Amino acid sequence: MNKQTPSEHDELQSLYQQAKQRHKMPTALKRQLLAQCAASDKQPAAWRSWWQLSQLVMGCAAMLLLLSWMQWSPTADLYQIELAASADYQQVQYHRLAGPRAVLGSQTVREERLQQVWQRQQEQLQRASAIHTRTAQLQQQEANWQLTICDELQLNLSKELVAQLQLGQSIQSDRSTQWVELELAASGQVLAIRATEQVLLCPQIKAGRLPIIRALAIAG
Amino acid sequence: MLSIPLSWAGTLCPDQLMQHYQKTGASKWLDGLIQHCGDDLYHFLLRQSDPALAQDICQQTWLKVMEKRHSFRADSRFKTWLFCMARNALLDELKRQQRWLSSTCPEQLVQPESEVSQSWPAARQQRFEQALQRLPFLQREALMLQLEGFSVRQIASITNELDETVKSRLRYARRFLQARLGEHDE
Repeated sequence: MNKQTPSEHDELQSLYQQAKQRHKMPTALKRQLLAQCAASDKQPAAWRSWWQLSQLVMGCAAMLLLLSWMQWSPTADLYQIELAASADYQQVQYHRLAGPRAVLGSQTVREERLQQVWQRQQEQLQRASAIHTRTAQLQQQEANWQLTICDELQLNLSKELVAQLQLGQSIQSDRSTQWVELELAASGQVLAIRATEQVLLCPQIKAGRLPIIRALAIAG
Repeated sequence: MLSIPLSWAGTLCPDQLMQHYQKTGASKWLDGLIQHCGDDLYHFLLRQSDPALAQDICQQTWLKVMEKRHSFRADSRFKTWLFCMARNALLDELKRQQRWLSSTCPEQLVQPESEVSQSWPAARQQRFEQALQRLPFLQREALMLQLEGFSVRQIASITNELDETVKSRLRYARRFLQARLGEHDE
């Protein structure tokens, strides 16, 4: 670049700074800008308050939506099926009623809500075309029910689920019933239990043995 | 958020002021920026145009700072951003007024005072200002930006030119000024 001694550069810099001192920004312009600046300072305050208000409203709306969702969602996990391993059965299932999550209100409100959700879920399941029936042996009719289909499946129904099915008149059997017809949804939920005269013929039964009645301790 | 006392604004550099202004939008920070860079920008614009246009572009530029404060990148230098916006606005206006070509030629826009009964330093100051005004627009621009403290790279960024082009303009500008100032010393 241009070879310039420091003194020459300093002199140019000095002359330039002096020239600048003689031609400062007009005071009126500065004042006008500061006035606009102050006006713009007020706008953000209004904007900020509007923003905060809108945030509050949106927050409340989101909270209401969330509560509504918690209250009114179909609660896919209302009817829960847990699988367990067993040496005696190909599959062991524990069916229980989880209850709608975080339903607020009194016991009565919660029960009403539970009924609504249950009803809706049952209707949805029954509308599905893939309902099938199986004959099973009812092995225990204490608070918890246990049903077996040969060595293929063991179903354990919680007392709450049994109570719920009974409430919806989906169980038509009594303590003396040994054989039942299970109405099952495609996804495995028990929709109804009816007493049947039909006896399940398992391979062992075909071979002349009665099904083994298993004394199981079922978690209450 | 912590609020910084107004008196502190004077101790902050333009980049720090801009960061605060960007975050808060409070006028005190813009006030500080105008106090720091207002005269520099106005003088630059004045030398490149005329008082009316310089005031107009100056106002436009500061309004843009208010409007576009969120688009300012924190890693860039505020003064570079400011001068870049001002320079672009000035060129647009000169082109719109069809003054761009004429402005590239020396023009006596800032009236020098009479040399009669001036002291030697005052006369030298006047010769400097006259010589500055006689420089071609782009050379004067490069030189003034350098005297404002911008590096060659920053000048290239403001003027959207290559570093070498800026260096060349600076070389010619300085030679011209030294020649003009030297003539009268002999």
